[in-house]
Amino acid sequence: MEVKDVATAIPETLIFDTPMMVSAIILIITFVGIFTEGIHKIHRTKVAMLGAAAMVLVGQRFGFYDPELAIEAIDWNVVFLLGAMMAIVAIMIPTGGFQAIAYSMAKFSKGRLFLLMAMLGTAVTVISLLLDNVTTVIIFGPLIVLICQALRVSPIPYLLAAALLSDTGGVATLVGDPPNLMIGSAASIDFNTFFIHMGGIVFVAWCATLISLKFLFKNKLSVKPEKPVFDTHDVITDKKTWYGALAVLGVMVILFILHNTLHWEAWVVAALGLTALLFINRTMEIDEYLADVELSLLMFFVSLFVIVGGVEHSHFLQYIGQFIQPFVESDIMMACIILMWAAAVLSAMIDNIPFTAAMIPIILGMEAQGINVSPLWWALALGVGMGGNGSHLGSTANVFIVTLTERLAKKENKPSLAITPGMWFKKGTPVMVITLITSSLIMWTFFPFFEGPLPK
Amino acid sequence: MPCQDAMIDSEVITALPETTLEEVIELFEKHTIRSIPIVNNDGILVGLFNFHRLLTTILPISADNQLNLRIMRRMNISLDHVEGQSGWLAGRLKDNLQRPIKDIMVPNPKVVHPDTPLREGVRLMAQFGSPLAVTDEETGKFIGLVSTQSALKVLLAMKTDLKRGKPIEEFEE
Repeated sequence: MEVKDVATAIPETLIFDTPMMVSAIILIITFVGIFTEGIHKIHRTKVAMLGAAAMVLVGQRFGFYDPELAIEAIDWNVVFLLGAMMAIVAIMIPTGGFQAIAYSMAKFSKGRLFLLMAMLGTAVTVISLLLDNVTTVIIFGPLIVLICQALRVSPIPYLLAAALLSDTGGVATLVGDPPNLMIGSAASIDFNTFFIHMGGIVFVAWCATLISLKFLFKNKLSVKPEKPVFDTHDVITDKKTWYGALAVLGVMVILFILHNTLHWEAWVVAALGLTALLFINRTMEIDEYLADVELSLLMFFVSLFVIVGGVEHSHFLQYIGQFIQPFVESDIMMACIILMWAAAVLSAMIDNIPFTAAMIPIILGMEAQGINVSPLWWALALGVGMGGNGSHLGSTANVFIVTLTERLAKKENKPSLAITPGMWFKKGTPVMVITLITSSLIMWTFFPFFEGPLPK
Repeated sequence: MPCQDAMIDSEVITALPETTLEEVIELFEKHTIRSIPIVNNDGILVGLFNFHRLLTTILPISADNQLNLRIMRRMNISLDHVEGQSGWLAGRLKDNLQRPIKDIMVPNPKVVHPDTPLREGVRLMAQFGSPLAVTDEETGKFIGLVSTQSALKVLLAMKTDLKRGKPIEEFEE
């Protein structure tokens, strides 16, 4: 059966047809399956793979999609960049460098608990500007618990701070969070443009998060801790690899800044960085590090791109977009604020990656209709990023922190050490609301800046 | 050879799920044992507690390698760099002494049945460590243990038989 590439030729007014209906049904069933993972216990990647398979087969049957278009729909920039970054961090983990950072901060803070929280939060944020914040939180979570046990204070404020601050901070860069990468890649936003638009707003939101945490944990931060000695001597067991990796990351930041000038997509920088790192220690067992690349997450992305590609080729999302379009045209700023809050609330309740994947074609569809969608991209990035703070399920980093504290509470036989959904609602959700209010105010004040067209 | 032929000959000391860690440690010392099956009032095996579990119990969660996270295992967090009055071992042992063993035992341990071939028992011991509990296939009731000592005894007997010239085919596996 001949397949027409209808995605490039969008008619002025779309009429709901059979391909739209079947693609929408597959999309909805798959997304419901992904969002209800906690109930049916089937891994979200498996659900996404099934949805992708259904989309390709049904799409071919109805003539709007085929395997060739499915391969084209996959954003390999996102997949390769994430994969390379995961391998880079896998090389850095056993060197002891992250332990050295955490212990140095514990030593420097000398029992001043808010300072410790701010320093650990800063370290986690700075690292998650470049690396995925889930990995950063997985690395720092157990170290924070250990430091807090030595100080004999509750680790809850520090763990929450790590999750909330890294989640907020990750919004600032193109590579800081998977949704940013998806948005940047789809809208051809380079590293610098992304940082220029998001850096300031995220910095203010990050400071607001830290100040909120100081007040939310006023009592827990005013206790008198024990004064253990943190010995930072020889914590780094593989100095050559650690410092080599830091140098490579430094060069990578420069290359990210230059990637548009060099006509490289962001994945090229990450792949070059990984290749260089593998040669710093020539005896490195490559298989060992590549085993740490989360293939299930990459497969999840591939499957989502295939699913959304099918919906895009059936024009269903553009069909939805045409209902939103008049509203966006009449008041773009209000549309941005609503998109930001809706994206945040949905991201707090469900996985923000599929939501971003579904929003991208809708916005691209509006762009094809001649609307200036630049501010919508920024609003989407802010919404899905900040929204992750809204609930204990809002991001994978949150889920890890909650699981860690549940295990800790069980092990220590102290139920008060577990972060419950209720506790997150009291401490995390206000942070999301504060960061969203901050972001909305800044966007409203400087709207002409965010409205400016994207450099191509 | 079935696993029942490699079980400990003497009576196996067991503990009830409500037994405290302190009492279990006393049993370890009194009977010179390093592991104990946890059996409920109906005689059904519900868990196992051994010296390794004792060690992981008194280690902090960041260093006990029980989180089953590859990243954490590869971080290999050392306790050599934090000093102070935290009482890493004594304090944590004290906190756990009065806990019922059911809270800290290895729940649902790997088991074999009396007629399970010893080669399978050896494979499980190599993978999950010693001892290996033997239970009734239908009722789940605890029957005995294949321990390091009892397994070694069987291997030594095999060695002696081989030296005496017993053909390998005659060892029924």
